[in-house]
Amino acid sequence: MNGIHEPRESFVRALEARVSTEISHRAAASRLPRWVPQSRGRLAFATALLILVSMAAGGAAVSAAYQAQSAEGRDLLVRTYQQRLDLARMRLELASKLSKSLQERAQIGAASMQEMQDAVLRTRQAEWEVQSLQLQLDEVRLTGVEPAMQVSAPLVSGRDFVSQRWQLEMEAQRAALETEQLRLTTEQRRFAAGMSTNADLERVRVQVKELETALSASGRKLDIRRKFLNRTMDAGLADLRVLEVDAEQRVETLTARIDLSRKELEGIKVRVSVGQAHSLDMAEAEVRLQQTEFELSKAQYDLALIKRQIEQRGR
Amino acid sequence: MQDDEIVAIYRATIRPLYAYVSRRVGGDRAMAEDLVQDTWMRALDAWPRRGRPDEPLAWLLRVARNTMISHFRRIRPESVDPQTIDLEAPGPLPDEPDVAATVSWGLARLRRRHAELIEAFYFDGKSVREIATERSMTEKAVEGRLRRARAVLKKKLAKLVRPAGTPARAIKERTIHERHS
Repeated sequence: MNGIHEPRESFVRALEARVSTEISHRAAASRLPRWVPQSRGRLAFATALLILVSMAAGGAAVSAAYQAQSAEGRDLLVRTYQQRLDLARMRLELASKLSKSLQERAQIGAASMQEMQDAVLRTRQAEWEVQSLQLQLDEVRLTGVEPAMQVSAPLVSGRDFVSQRWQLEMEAQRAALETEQLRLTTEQRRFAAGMSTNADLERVRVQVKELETALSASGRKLDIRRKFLNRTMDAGLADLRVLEVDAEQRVETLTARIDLSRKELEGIKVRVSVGQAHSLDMAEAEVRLQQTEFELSKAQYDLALIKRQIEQRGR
Repeated sequence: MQDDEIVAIYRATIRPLYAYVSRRVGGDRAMAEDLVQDTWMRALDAWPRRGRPDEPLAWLLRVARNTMISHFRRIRPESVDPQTIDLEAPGPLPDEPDVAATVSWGLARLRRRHAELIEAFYFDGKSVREIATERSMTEKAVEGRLRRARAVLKKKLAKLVRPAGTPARAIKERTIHERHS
């Protein structure tokens, strides 16, 4: 027999150990009656231990997991994602508690509606993080490798993990947009009452605009994914189209930021002329504007390159 | 079912199972190990519920094959130009993961009777005579079926060919025979 079709001894031993462990785990699970309640204390202790171990293993485990290709690597990768999921669940629990406490304080007037909205948003974002990590763990369990993020990733056992993750991302963006729109309304009221400046209002407007752009980009990427899965767009073109969407989003975001930076600079110039601000503040604002302009030029160059590649494919 | 019975089956079947999978992925060790592990995890799920099969190795090979078909239906190999694969070769395919992935992609889209014949010939290296004996057929009938199966496979693989003028990232110009020699 050709040697390359012989399994490695280390693999044979590792899989045998895994088979034996699985057998004992399954046997133990079948012996435990389902109605027996889990001990909360032991569960909490196990969770705390798991987190401590995960923190201790830290970067080493993660970086090793990235290299995991073999069967042994799969186990390591699954464990790493399981630990991340456990940590995300803890963050969710904490965010829920904070949100509840803020709601109680808001009811007695000790916290503002905006603070409460922010806390609710943070809780929802923590929920999406848990859901997203659960999806990644499911994918790692099925494939044994890092979750595929690119638009041209194939389905895994009939499941479209890429679209599911993007849909979750869209939900998070939608919720963030709703919160920012509420903040904008509040800021407009404050501005009308002379309680905030035009610059504050502009900053929130830019934030809303950025979230709208991100949401629209996510929708377009989902559409490209659908076309790829329906085979109306090939993998190479789908990847390029997603890069194009990302680059366009970046150009739009940076353009809005430049407008904001210019307005801020003008405001600082006025304040410097009447002695309300230092010339150093003006220099800082100018540098910020130039940096953003440079980033925009780079993003425009990237976009032009991607568009040229798309055109070349079409020829 | 006793635990040590499963371990004994594992020890008796791991090598032929691995070899079966490895030949079909052109010796791609990482993929072969993943597929073998996946197959065994399925066995551990199924056997306690449905009972151990009479022929565990045959069961494992069948599950491994189905897992591979499912895998190759999901992917689209691009690193080898299928036109350069010489399916008229008189012997088994060389152990090259890219070539195996391309051929397996096509096989995953064939009818089972065609696919099994081609697998026996190209991956398991069985002669026409051996296949005929195993299947209680005449050699001539096996040759005829192989010819038809090859024709269908070529048609399937033609769908992988890039349109003219498209940049070929890693198309290998040499035929399989050239590579072999």
